[in-house]
Amino acid sequence: MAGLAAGDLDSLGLLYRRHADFVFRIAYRFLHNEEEAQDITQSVFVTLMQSARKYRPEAKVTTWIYRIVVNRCLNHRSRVKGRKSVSSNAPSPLETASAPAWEQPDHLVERAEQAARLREALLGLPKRQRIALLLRMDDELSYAEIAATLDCSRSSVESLLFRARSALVRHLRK
Amino acid sequence: MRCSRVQRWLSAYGDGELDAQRREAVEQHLAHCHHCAAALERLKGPWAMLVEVDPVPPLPTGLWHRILRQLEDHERHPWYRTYRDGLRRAACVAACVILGFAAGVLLSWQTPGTVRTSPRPVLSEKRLVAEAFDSTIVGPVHNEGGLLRCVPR
Repeated sequence: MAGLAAGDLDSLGLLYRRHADFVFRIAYRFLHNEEEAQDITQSVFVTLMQSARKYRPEAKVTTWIYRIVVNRCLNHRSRVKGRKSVSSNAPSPLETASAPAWEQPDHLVERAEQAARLREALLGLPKRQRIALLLRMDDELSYAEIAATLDCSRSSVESLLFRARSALVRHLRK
Repeated sequence: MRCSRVQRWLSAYGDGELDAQRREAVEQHLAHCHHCAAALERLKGPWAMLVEVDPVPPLPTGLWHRILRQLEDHERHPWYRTYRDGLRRAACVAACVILGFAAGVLLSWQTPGTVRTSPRPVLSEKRLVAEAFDSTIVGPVHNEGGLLRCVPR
């Protein structure tokens, strides 16, 4: 962090190599838009460099980074609320399969439909539930780290995750 | 232990985040409650499916260079950012002052005010005025906007 505060690009590069994937993944899952996720990731690391002097040593670097990306996502979403999300460039399993959609196995079509409903349910979750779920994804952050990032208690994180997951399950069972 | 209580803990249990006491209670309950065991499996399901069917695209390789370019631009034109930020702040302050002034003026127009008139002249003054205008004071002397009205003789 001292290197970063002094404007050392190598220090920023180190942080980028360690955390860029995670930042991009959170932004993408939250916004479901590849271009906007890239913009968010770029702005997070530019902010890290420009505000390194404001970093308080008592907080963990990772918590500081996660807070920046969470705030960027929440603010970004509210600014472009009316805009529809552009579909990701990553092809769905239906697109990569050799046969046309109507000839594909039923289970694959069903899976794709469920995933679409799940994405819709995820985007419909309250922001804090959605962010808590995304931070937990792939076992990236512990409950204590999520609590530090969201500036809430551990029991609040437990409650947020329980409600988010229950809402997803209910949505899928409709 | 009741299912409703255990189910509130299932999410944290699945994440391995329960303290030892609650973890033991949940495990004992799950050992004989198929309903809660099924609920636990349902909680795990959605996310695994989303990861499988909706993968995150890879981080673009040119993103690091975009970051460097933006930082270089900022270094070349730091005055622009400072100027822009200061201008924004000044504009906000000016807007607040103008709005406050406009609100004050609007309120003062709408509030019924007293009509300012000259102080009522004393009787001797009234007589003097009446004599000057060759009139007789036959009734109350009305003070209209600083002028005295008398009935002429």
